[in-house]
This record gives sequence, C-alpha cells and structure tokens, in this order.
Amino acid sequence: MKKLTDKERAVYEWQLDVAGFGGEEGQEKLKNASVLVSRCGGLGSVVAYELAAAGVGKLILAHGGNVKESDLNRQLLMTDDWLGKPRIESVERRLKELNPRLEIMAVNDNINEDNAKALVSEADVIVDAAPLFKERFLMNREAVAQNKVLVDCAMYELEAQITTIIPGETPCLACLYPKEPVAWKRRFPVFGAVSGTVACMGAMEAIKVISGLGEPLKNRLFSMDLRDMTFAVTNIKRNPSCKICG
Amino acid sequence: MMQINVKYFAQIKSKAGKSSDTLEIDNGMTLHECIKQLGEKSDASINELLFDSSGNYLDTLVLVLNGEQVRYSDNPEMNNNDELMIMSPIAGG
Repeated sequence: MKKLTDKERAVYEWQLDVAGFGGEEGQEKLKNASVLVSRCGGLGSVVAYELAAAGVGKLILAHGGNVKESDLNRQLLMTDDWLGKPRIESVERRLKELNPRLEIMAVNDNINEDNAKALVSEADVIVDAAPLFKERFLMNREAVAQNKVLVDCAMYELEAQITTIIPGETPCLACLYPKEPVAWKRRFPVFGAVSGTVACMGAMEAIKVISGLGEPLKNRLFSMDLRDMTFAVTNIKRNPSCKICG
Repeated sequence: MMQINVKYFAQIKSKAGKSSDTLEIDNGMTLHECIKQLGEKSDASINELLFDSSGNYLDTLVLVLNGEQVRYSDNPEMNNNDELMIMSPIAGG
C-alpha cells in the first residue's frame, strides 16, 4: 500500500475530515485504487475529473475519435483548441493539469470485444459512461465475470439515472434490460449540466465503494428529472434467469 | 373500473409527448393487459417501444409499480390507483 506524501496530505486536507471516510487511511485506499471510465464524454469527462481531483491513483480511460464542435457542450475535458485532435489526448492533458500525480492508462479506442476483458482486469471499479448499449453490455459482462463493481450512469434530455452493480449482490445491467434496447439512438438531446450532475454522483459512488464510506446505491435505481426537479429511488431486483449473472 | 396512474421516463416520455397519463381499466386486469391497453390508447406513438411488429412485448423497459420494480413476466394483478412508471433505457455520451 502506497502511503500519502506531504503534498497529498495538503491537497486532500478538506476531504480527510469527512466523517466515515477514514482520514488518511481512506485517502490511501483511493491512492492505491484504479478506476476504468469509458467513455470520457459528457458523463465520463466529469467522472474522471472528479476522481482525479479526489486522488484516485490510477485511471484507465477509453475513448476513441477526435474532438468535434458538438462535443463541447458537455464533454468538459475537451477544449476548443483541440478540435480535430484525439479526444483521449485532451482528456489526459486536462487531467494531468489538475493532478500531475495521477497515473493514466489512456486508450484511444472505445470499449469493444477485443479490449473489454483486459481493460476491466486493470481496474478495481468500473464506471460505465458509454453511449452505446453494446459497449455497456460488454463492460457489464466483464465486470460480472471478474467480480468487479460497476457504477452505471446514464442520461437523456433533462433526465438521468444511476445504480451501483455489485456482482452476486445486485441486479446487473442485463437484469434490468434483458434485451438490447431497440429505440436508443446515438445522438440524443442533453445539456452538459445534466450529464455532469449524474457524473458527480457516479464519481461519488466509486469513491464510496473504494473507501468504504457510506452506503452505495445497491439494489436501487436513482432517477431524476431536472425539468421539474423530481427525484426517485426505485428498488430493483436480480433476474433469476439473467444470461449474465443469473 | 380502476384508474391507473402512468408515468413515463426518458424516451418513452418524448414519444408520448407527456410525462404522465391515466388509464381506465377493468377490475381484475393484469400488468400485461394494462400495458397492451396503454399501447392501443396512445395512437401508436409509444406502442413501438412496447411491442414489436408481431405484437410481442419488447422487454427493454424498466417497469416500476408503486415504487418497486416488477418484471413483465411476473404479470401482477393491477389495483385501483396503482402508479406504474415506465422507464426507457438510457445511456451515456
């Protein structure tokens, strides 16, 4: 277990006082932890930024393609001066500006059948922030197979939802959606403030799981509608006939 | 007759053009009959998210009855003033 440096004690001073976090012991858990975030778009950018700020030691980040204008309303690790250049380079650069101590495994690709198993194996916790269900189901499958916690974040328009999947204890993504959704479209309406809101919750879930702070969103699906500020927590259950975790 | 209070989440809300609806169903009806009636009532706008072209339930939605997830296959009997939330799958991006 790597110990905190004096610099890290100074940087994380305010969060070391959070009740239940465990002070330096909790911070060392974050320092020695690795989190996979894919992709680093509207959701994943903010998840990665918050985890970098909190002092998670290693981030495995997967995101392919180059920065486009239409990324910039929500993908907060992309910048206008990086248009046309690889997104993952912008992600790495911005995170290092915030936390130069952070170890980053940057993958210039999205999660796919060829890399899912290996990338999940690198992480203690996975945060699913991908826009396509094919990628989400791959991360879910590997998280269950490798007994890794997966925080599942999603948003649409002014609505968002999040749950924390713990293999063997909670429903997995395939329990919730036994069949691949037919109507989901790659492009959908959203404000960055919506993806950012649920992303902060996702980062907090990862921090909680790693440090043992509080109670994760196990067996519960938190949903919100920022249009009228309604929030709901739904009890969810495993599917005994689930093809992934049943 | 019974009244069911229906709430929509995400894409199905956009398709329905409203966040909630009420449905009058016969006493003793089950979830299956309730959802079928809802699809028929909605001038086909949400029907395509509920059923395929052969009329088979798509099973890609999260169904929440009075705050608890229910499976379509469980097919519980509905009660007057039940609240049924139908949640479309959403992702990141």
